[in-house]
Amino acid sequence: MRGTNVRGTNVRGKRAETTIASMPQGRRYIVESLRRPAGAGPASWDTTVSRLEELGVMPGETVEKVGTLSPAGPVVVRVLGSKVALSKDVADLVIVRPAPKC
Amino acid sequence: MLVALVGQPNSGKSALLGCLTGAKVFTSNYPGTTVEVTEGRVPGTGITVLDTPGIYSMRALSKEQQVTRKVILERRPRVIVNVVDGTSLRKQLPLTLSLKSLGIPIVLAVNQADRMKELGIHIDLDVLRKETGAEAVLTSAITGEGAETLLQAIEKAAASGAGEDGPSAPFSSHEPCRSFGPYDLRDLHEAASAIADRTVRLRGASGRRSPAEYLDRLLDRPAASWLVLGGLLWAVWRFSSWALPFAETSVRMILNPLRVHAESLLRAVLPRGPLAETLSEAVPEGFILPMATVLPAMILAYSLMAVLEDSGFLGRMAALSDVFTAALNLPGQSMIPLTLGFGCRVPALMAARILPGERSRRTASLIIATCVPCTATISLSLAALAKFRASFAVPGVLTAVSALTIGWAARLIPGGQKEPLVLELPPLRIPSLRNIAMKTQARLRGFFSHALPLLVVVNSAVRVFMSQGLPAGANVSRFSRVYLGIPPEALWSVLLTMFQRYLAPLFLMQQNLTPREAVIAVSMVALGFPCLPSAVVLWRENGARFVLLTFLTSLILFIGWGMVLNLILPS
Repeated sequence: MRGTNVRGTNVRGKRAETTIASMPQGRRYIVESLRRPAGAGPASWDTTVSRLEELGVMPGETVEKVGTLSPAGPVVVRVLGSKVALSKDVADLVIVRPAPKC
Repeated sequence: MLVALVGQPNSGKSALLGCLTGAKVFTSNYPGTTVEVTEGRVPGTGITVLDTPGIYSMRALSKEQQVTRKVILERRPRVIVNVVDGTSLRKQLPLTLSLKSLGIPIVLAVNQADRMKELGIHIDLDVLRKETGAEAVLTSAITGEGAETLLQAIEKAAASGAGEDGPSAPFSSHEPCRSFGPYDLRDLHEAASAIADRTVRLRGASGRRSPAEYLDRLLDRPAASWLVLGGLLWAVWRFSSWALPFAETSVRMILNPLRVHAESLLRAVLPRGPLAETLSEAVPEGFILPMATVLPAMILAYSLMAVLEDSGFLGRMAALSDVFTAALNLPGQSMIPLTLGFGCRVPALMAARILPGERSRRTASLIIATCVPCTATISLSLAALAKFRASFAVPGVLTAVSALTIGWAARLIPGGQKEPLVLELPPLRIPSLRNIAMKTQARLRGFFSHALPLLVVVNSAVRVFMSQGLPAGANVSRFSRVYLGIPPEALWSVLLTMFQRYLAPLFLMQQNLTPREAVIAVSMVALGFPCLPSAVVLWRENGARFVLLTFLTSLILFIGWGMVLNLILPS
């Protein structure tokens, strides 16, 4: 995973986070935050965040992975009842935590 | 009275317009079907309905969404009918809530009632009315349910209308704004969640999966989706290589007696002379060639396109091809306009509006305008190649390489990488045969009504010119023969792509070419100038400078490849 070193901790020394890209299939997760990528220009990142928000990929919403279209390719998640395809580099940036079981 | 249908992509606005006005409208199953505003009148009332491209929010990120924003703010409809997909109310409500701040009366059309019934989704309209403060009506554009009630609700909303003062402060029509107006995005989502919790009930779902749902789940697996995509392409290729020659022979056989009659009739009517001789052969031929060569290919391509659009597979294809389109420096969404381009480039260039950024939009437009040949061009080019027994592979490979080159060159322009893929996948549906037939027929009629007369006229003109000898200066002639290895007449036909690309192979077919000359000439045609209609769209969408850039690009491409082929092909 980008931004993490060998011990599985990221640059700020926290435990490696689960992202949409790394979360397992078939379990519900809650979006915690969107991480800004290292090299992205502010304009294009803002647009990407806005487009994610429009589709419901935003902090507080529940997401569930339904499939990965190829090892390096897009991840398909179910959010707000619809399926959304995200390219791998975007999926890497969305940090999630497991949803409480009920 | 002006009423605007506004809603999220793929909620069924166009279908509802068709249902209200009785007009024939194209509907498809992918977000971004509608990229411009269309208008219709409801018969027997004074209501004019505007159908708008789908928007997720008033921020309007992509170009087609800005169209909607502009239309709301500038034309100020008396009533906004917010079309929401009843099967995903929770997702649709944030837009509803943000529309409220416009100060225009809103009527909620809870659409796709037929699918809601199938899925066992029940929405409590009374609670929805109370929570949103807007009249809510259950509609289904498929069955026509709720159309009357919706019209009554519109009249009522207009009568109560506070719509006189127009949009309130937070929105200006000039630039896409970053906020949701007076609302915070998170608040909107929380409010939407709360409303959905109180209104949506699941009951009486059949629990049985429909075939479409089954396929939908299957396609989430990578192996299955690649197999389906590959299988589809293979099947189309196999089918077309069997069906198209068969169709061509049959059409020619059926039309041949007509041709003979037309020829002798023209000979009898026209005054004797070499001109009459040429015309009486060229005119019937101008009719038969498109019927035999273009029509079967078009029926096949357009119905395939309609199936892809209606089934929702086009969206899947876009997500799958993100890996490939990355080579063109484009996000996967661009597969939608690129695929449409193989049908006709005009709608494809319009569809480029759905791409997320200016940069992707322009790159995709450039590739479509220069490297994506339409069905008519492909079928006539193949006919020309077959006639001269020339290689099919060379023009195909060259177009692909050229597209890759443009994508590579676009990467060099400062401004960063391609926008990443973020795309909503519509649920798969079994496409209705009626819709496919209607679309194919309308598109065919659109093509043949203007192409058939043009083909007859150009075919005759070319024949006349060929029989008289073309005016070619010594310099042009030398350039063409020495550098490109083709006769000057063939170079003229390549330049004909400026009017319509498919006229060029037609012109070539009238000439006597060696296989080598044919390969070079057809390759140059395949990368020829954008045709007149697509140049007009390019101008409207991107401005005059971009049209100039496109013409320059194609000039470099076809002259360059012509010279390269002339150097490397064995003579």
